[in-house]
Amino acid sequence: MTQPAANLTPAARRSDEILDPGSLMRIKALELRAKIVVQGFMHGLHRSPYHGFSVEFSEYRQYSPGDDPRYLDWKLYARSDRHYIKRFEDETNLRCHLAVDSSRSMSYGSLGYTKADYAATLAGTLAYFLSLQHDAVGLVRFDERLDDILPPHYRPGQLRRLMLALERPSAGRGTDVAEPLRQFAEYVSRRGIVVILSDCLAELDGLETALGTLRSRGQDVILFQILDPAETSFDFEESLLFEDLETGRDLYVDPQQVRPGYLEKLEAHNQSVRATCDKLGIEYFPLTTNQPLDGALHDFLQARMRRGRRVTRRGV
Amino acid sequence: MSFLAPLYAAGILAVSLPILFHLVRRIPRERVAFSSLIFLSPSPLRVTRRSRLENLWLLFLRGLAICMLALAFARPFFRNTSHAPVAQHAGERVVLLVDSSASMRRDRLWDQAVQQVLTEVDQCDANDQVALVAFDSHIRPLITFSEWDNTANGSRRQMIRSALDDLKPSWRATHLDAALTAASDLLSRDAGAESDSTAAAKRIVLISDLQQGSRLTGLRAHRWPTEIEVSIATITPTATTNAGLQIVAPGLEDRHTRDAGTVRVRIDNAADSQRDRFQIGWVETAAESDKKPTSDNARIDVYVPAGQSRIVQAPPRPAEVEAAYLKLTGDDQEFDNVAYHVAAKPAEMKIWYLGDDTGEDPQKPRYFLERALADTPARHVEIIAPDETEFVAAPGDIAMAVVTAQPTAEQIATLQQFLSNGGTILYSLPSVAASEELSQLIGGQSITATEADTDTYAMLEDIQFDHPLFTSFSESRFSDFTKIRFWKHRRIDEAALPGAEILARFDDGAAALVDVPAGKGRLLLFTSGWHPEESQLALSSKFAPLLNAILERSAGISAELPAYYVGDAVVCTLDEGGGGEGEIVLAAPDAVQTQLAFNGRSTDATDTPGIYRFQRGDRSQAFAVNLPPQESKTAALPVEQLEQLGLVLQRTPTAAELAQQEQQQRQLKNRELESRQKLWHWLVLAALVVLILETWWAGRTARAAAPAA
Repeated sequence: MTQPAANLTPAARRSDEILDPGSLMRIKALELRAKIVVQGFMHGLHRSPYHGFSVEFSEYRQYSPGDDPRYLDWKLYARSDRHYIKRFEDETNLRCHLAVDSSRSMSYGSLGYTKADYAATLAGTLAYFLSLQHDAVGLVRFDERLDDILPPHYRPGQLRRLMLALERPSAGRGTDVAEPLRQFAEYVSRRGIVVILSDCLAELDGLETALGTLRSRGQDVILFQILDPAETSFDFEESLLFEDLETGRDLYVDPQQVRPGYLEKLEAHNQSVRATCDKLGIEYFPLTTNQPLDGALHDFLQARMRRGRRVTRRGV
Repeated sequence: MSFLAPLYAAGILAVSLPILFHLVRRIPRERVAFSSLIFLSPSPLRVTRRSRLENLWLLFLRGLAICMLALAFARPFFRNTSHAPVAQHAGERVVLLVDSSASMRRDRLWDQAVQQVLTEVDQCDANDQVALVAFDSHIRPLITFSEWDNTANGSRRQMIRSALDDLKPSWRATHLDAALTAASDLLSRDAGAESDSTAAAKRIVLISDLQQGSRLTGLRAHRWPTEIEVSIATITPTATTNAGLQIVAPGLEDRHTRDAGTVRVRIDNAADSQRDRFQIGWVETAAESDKKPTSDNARIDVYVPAGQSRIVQAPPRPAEVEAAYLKLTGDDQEFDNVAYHVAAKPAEMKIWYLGDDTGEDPQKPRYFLERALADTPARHVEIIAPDETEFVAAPGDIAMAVVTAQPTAEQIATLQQFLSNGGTILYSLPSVAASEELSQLIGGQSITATEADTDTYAMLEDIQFDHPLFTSFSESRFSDFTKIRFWKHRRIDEAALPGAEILARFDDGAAALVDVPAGKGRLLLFTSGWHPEESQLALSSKFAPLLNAILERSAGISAELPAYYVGDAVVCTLDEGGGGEGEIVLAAPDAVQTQLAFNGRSTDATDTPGIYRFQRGDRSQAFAVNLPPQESKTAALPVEQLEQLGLVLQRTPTAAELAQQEQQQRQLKNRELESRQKLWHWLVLAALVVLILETWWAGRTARAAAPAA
């Protein structure tokens, strides 16, 4: 079960340096898994060029004596001969929603753990990381509709509640990404970040509309599409009766025969998701469950960085 | 090779099918969960081949063993030896029972019957045995089994043909029960005589019109042998309307009351008749040549619905002629349309009265005797004087002698002769003194009589109502004799009358009426008198019936007037009374005097209907012989009725039944062949050998595989 090299993200290439997800998933406590990932990530950050930056640049203000000279915008000073201090998002109150798909298709896994386990670990990692930065983190679980909703807060016990909500098993049904996102867009009012963790294995009708609505309500959206390696490669050998986890339908399939068609359809599907995201300015990260989690965290931060830059450019 | 139970051979499939399925097709049973099937399309079930079969020899041996077992269960046999041992068809014993009764005289029925007999003979095999029996009320074997056997096969048909040519339908009744019973006895008896033919099928072919008048009552008591089958060849006439004519014999009580010329006839219309209107009229035998009714006015129309019978009064009979016949017209069948009738002549009865009165005095016995025994249409009574002894001497002229006074010695001698000729004497004991003459008359020991001592009167008691003289009083409403009082009576010594029967006693115990047999005749001793001086008997309602009963008994008048049918035995009464001389001749109805078989008193040679006549000298006795009335019931008898009586009827099998029988025969033959060949024994043995071989081979293979492992 190998993945084509072209699909690997930069973070995935460094996977050998980080904890292997197979080993990580054997740790039962979700919070501990999140801490291990974040700490490992932090450990690597000592040499990171992104040190000192918060999550998101927000605005400029006039320098006044006593301000930290590190935050002087020297480029602006060069252009305007005035001193301005950059203010970052962490100084504002960042609200982040983690939208986790809990449909039945997420309970598939060929590596000893499921996509849902992987998504929960990733969500826990992100939540732990954000809470370390004193950001407000909330949780939304959905299958065909919105299920658990934990509004974002930054307060003692929030992380604990979030972890518990993630660990709670979900009697999910079929996946419909568009409809719960549409409901969620109606629910959120304040500006913030929405991180969607889903396999997106559903019909895409309405996905663009739902995501567009989210975007129009001032939400920055990051989509992690989590797939199992078996789903991306479909390397079954013998003819089998395949049972749909969501509908229970049986289908006799000869993998040798249908593999090219399957891969083609899956690629077209993923391309469609990617195109939708690109169109709406949404960060899209495909993940397979054999990829290290800190890579995903890295991708997340990188996305935040790009967004910060875009804002900076818009602010000039 | 054939199989007795070929379905068991399907057991072979039990071997081949699993192997076939194992080789050809394998349906996947593994199942795996997958996240979503939206990108998958179904694949057609693919036939996969098992890579190879291992141990082909073992498989072959096991399959062979199972195949052999299956074949053994299918009970194989070889058909090619089938023709040798099958039992040859045993000859059938057939009794051809031909109805020759009067009803077969209908239109062309006899020709059909003859044709049917010949057809049956033609259908018989060479080794069949056939007997030909004709029947009506008599059974006439025409061809016996031995005659059939002794005749060459080619001339048997001619023998039957000639026997039938001599046979014509008679005028007798159809006694079907007797005929069938006799035929079954014939078959059973002959079968018992020849032990080798007991296995042969026995069959009675009944060739008859099966009319409803056939007598079947004898079959109810007969247990029909189950091995004898009856096949019925019914002969049916083209025209079915038939009405029969029968003269109703007048009853006993009618003889004295009705006009002797009145004749009543019963007209039976058969159930399958098409018409219901007929005419009847008289034809005189004197005018027999033209056979026409005496006049058209004499004919009457009669309406009788089909299946019913009516009794009608015939038109007035020609008074002068003794013999005539009634003829019915209007139906299709002529044979039963004539009823012969002989006018009854009043019987001449002479009573020799021995008394001292002349009948003028109403206080004397003769006065009442004359009135009690008056003339009727059936008799003419003449009381003759004591001195006319020449009549008494001739037996048969005197019906009865009545004694009311002391007879003289000459009269006693005449009376004794009369008694010895079978005469009856009513002896009213006139006085005690007359007992001596009584003793002489009977010829026994001396009878003593004493006058009974009655202060007032005596009554009758202890009456023997079962005696013929008193049977008419046996009903309770007639049996009251208490109103009859006897002022005087004599007491006699009963011990002196051996063999006498006391018919009634007086209430003091003395015998009142004693029946004393004497010689051929009898003496009725009455110990009182019926005239008013002696008793009230003559004035009572019992007197006339009692005297008439005595007279009829003494004159030998039977209770019923004879109505003779063809085949009945006819009793000649010409010799009674001693009149005439010479042999008695029976004249047949064709007016030609023929000396018929006659045994002296009766004859059964009346084989055609008509007026017969006994002749002896110048005396003659005419009597009518008619067709048996049952023969007029010509509607067909339901065959089911014969079955209900226990007959085993042979049905003509349908094509399906024939096919089924053939199938059963074949099956039986196959079973017999199979049981003789017993191939399944060998197959089971071979299967055992194969199984032993298989065990050995399997062990060898296992031992060879073990070191390799």
